[in-house]
This record gives sequence, C-alpha cells and structure tokens, in this order.
Amino acid sequence: MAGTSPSPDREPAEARWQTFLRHAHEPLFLLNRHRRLLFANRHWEECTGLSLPAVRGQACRPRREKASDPEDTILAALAPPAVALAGQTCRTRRRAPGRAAGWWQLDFFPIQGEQRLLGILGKITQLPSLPAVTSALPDRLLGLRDRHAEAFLLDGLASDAPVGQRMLEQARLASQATMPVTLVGEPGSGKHWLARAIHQAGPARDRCFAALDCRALPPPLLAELLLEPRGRRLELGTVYVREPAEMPRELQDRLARMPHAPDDAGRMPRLIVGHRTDPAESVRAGRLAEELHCTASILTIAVPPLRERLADFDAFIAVFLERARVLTEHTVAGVSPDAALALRGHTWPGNLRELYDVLRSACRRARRERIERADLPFFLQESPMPAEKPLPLDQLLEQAERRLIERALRQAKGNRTRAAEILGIWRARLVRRIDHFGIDVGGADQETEGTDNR
Amino acid sequence: MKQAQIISYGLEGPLAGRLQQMAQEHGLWLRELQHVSACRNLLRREGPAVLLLMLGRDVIAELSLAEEVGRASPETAVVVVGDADNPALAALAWDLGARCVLQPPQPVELLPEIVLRLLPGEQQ
Repeated sequence: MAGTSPSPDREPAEARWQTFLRHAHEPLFLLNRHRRLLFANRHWEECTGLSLPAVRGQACRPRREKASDPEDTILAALAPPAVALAGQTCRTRRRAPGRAAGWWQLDFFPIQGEQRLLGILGKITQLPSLPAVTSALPDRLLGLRDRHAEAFLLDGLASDAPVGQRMLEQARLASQATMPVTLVGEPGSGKHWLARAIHQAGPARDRCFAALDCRALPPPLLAELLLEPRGRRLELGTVYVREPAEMPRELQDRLARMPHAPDDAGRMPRLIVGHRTDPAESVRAGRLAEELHCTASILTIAVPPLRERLADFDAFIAVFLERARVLTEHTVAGVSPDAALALRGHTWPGNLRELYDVLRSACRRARRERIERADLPFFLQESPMPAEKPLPLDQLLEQAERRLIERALRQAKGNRTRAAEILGIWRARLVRRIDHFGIDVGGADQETEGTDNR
Repeated sequence: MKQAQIISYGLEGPLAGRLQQMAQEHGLWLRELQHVSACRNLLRREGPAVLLLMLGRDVIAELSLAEEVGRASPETAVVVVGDADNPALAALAWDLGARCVLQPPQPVELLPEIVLRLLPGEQQ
C-alpha cells in the first residue's frame, strides 16, 4: 500500500513476484493499482529500451497529447485499458514507440484482492511488420497513415453502456482473427468506424483499409477492386463493403466464392460488410445473395444506436469536440448544462453522425468556450425538457416475474412441478405466485397435474 | 438544408469540362480551386460536399487534406484522381478515407457519374 510501512509478509511476496518474472522468457511488467511500475524483467528492458531503475515507480497512463520525452511515450504505450483496471483480462495492440519498430500486442492480467484490484501483470509480444505495398512510400506519406490510424483505436470504444461493452468485446474478438465480419446497425451508428478499428487492431493493420460504398461506386469499379487482379495489386488488408445488397447479383455471387482472409502473399483482403437493416431480411427479399450473407456473417456484430448508448453520451461529446477541431478551428471545450439537457432530450435518429454534425455546426456558432443552448440548431433549442420517466421498481419486477412464470408454465405444458424446476424454485412458492397473479394455468395443467403428486 | 457543393482541386482539361457540364445540368455548386488551403477554407463551410483531388502538384499536402477530411468531416466524400498508375499511392488514398480512387487505366470518364452518386440525396 502506497505511503505505509511494508507489512512483514510484503517483502517475501514481492521477492517471489520478482523471481517469477525474472525467470520468464517474455517481456513482463507489474503495475500497482495506481498503474505505477513496480517491477519488470530483463526481456522487458530489452524490448522497451528502458532501464527499470530509471522508471520504477512511474505511472503508465495514456497521454492526451503526444509526449515529447521518449520515456513517457513508451510508458504511455504500456498503459492498461479501462477494462483491465475494472478487473478484466484483456489484449490490445499498439504501435511500438521509441527504437522498436512495428507493433506490440499487450496482454493485461489484473490481480484481484478480496475487495479491490491489487495490481496488473502485463506482457508484451512483439509483432512482426507485414510486407505492404505502401512500404515503397516516403516516410512523410507513411506518417499520414499513422496519424489517421490513431483515430481508430479499439480502446476508444470503451463504454459504460452494456450494449457498448458487448460490442467492444466482439470487436476485440474480431480483431484477433481474420474471418469475415458482418456489422449491422442503423445509419450513422458507427459501422465504418468500427470496421476500421477492427482492421487497425488486427493482423492486417500494416496493409491498407478501403471502404467501398456499393451505392456510390459503379459496378465495374467494385468488380475491379474486389475481384480482379488489378485490385489485388493494392494488397489491401481489409475491405469494408458497405451495403453489399446494393451490388449487382452477379458480383455478389462472385464475391461469395472468393477466399476472404489475408494470405501470406498479401493478395486477399479481409472482408467486413456493413448493413443498415437486418441482412436476413434482405436475403428473404432477394436483394442479398444468401451465399454471400453466409460467407460474411461468421461473426456478426450489432452496432447499437445512440439512443441505447446514452451512458456514453458525454464521452462522445468530448471525442467529437476534439475531432471537430481538425478542420474547424474553435476553442470550444464543452457544453453548458442547459445545452446538454437539450442534446439528451433528442432521440438522435441519425445516431452518432447526427450528433457530430450538430456539435460541429454549434462549434462554428459558439462565441464562448462552451456550447450554449442558443448555439444548437433550432429544432434542438425548441425541444422540450425530457420528462423524468417513472420507474416503479416493484411493479416492473412483478411484470417480469409474471412473464417468466407464464413462460415456464408454457414450456412445462402446464405442469407446475416441472415449471418450478425450470424456474429453480419450490413448487409451493410457484403455486402461491400463480394464485397471486391469477394466472390461468389452462387445460394442459389439468391433464398433467396428476403426475405432479407422485 | 444547404446545397451540396463540389470542390474540385487541380482538375484541368476535358475532365474539368465534363464536370462543369454535369454541374450545370444538375444545378450543382462547383468550385474549382488551385490551392489546398483554399479547399480547406471552403470545407469549413457548413453543408455536405464532394472533394475531388487531382494528385500531382504537392502530393503530401493533397493527401494531408484527404486525411483531415476523412477523419474530421466524414460526411464529405473525397475522390482522389491520379495521373499515373501507382498502386502504393492508390492504396494509401483508400487508407486515408477516400471514397473512390481513380488512376489510369481506369476510365476517368466515370468521374461525373461517381460524383453524382456520392452527393447526399442523390443515392437511392
């Protein structure tokens, strides 16, 4: 514990950790719960180029701005993501800073105490750079790629909303493999961004990413890029095909028959497809080839609409204000409480894209350091304050309980003993609750009730 | 809603003529510019846009603009046109967020059609 004298058992425990790490053949490092570096082994020193005595006790935290000190840059690259601090094992990939070239794969293993996080064990795996057609480009152009790639990091998807957390977990899984992925989400929900982030965290990240909009590109161009040798010369790592149902059927059939994983020669790109609506519905309507849907949907990720991610609303605003600064020079640093209330009261049918557009136009109008209600578009200024929705807990719980009991009774064909087993409760309790809710068990119950009282 | 704008940088000759004709026929607002900084200033205006970038004069400045637009103005469609067959540059332009990249021997005559398809409200 920081700031207190060590307990008698502490030194032997630390010594055991150090012995353990010292004998490992991989670069390992140990952080305390405040993300300060406690120990690292020799392989870590070789990998990072840092000397442990020089950096012991320093914090591994992400920096908002690019650090000028190479030591800080390396420590920032070793910062555990929020999920690791929340106690979950996780893996992430980051560009190796300093003298090391290529990428690092970082594994974080939280060490939990009885009540709180004790520390985090980290492991670095150096990933070899893949050959890429762009390696022929000058460094200044490759620097543009790096700058662009930094805007699409999976760590930036950290979410407080359960649907967002599930999406992040699925995206991490997708990034660790090369199989085709299907993204389904409303327009503007961030499918393109997610596809790029999956590419960026995946094994093909050193190759390029291309997003092909099947509604905008003429079929001959699509065919060339997706199916013909000329397109393969680009050695793309991932192709994101937006709305494949809009492609001519013949192209869909040809695309379905192609292999869709990057090969050693780097000729075949990974396939990620994006749909605004349920692709199964498009298959039924005959717009999407079933074979292509089956090929591309090995892993399907539902991208939630903004209205289901309101827990992340403030984080989105902060990210978007920062992003808007790239083209639109402004000094806006936040949103006034009144404007925030108006923003939260909107239903956002255009999702993240709509929120970004609104914030960008508000930044242009804002005369102060924060966006006021008057800076928002008229339809938001006029939107009524969201009324506090009542959440009567007992009533909601009873509704849920009733639905579960009815479902169990249906499954058990009215047999109360079986239904009680399904629900994991005693039969007597189930009978009491059936009486309480006045549930009509029905004729099936009468037929099978005789078997209850064996 | 403001009218969609087409910003054309570095396009000259018959191709520029075809674009002018297309813009006239469809009543679109076409701005032909010769400086990257002028494109950047125009993109700060509100309203959706299609940005046509002919690579050649200052590739780094041109692709920097494409990168900035791809990152910060996703509603703006960037179309990159090259004057030579260069797979590395084409791959990079796609990577930086271009919605379409055209290089010889691809038929550059497709450009007006692509621009029309990329304009907001023109897609079905």
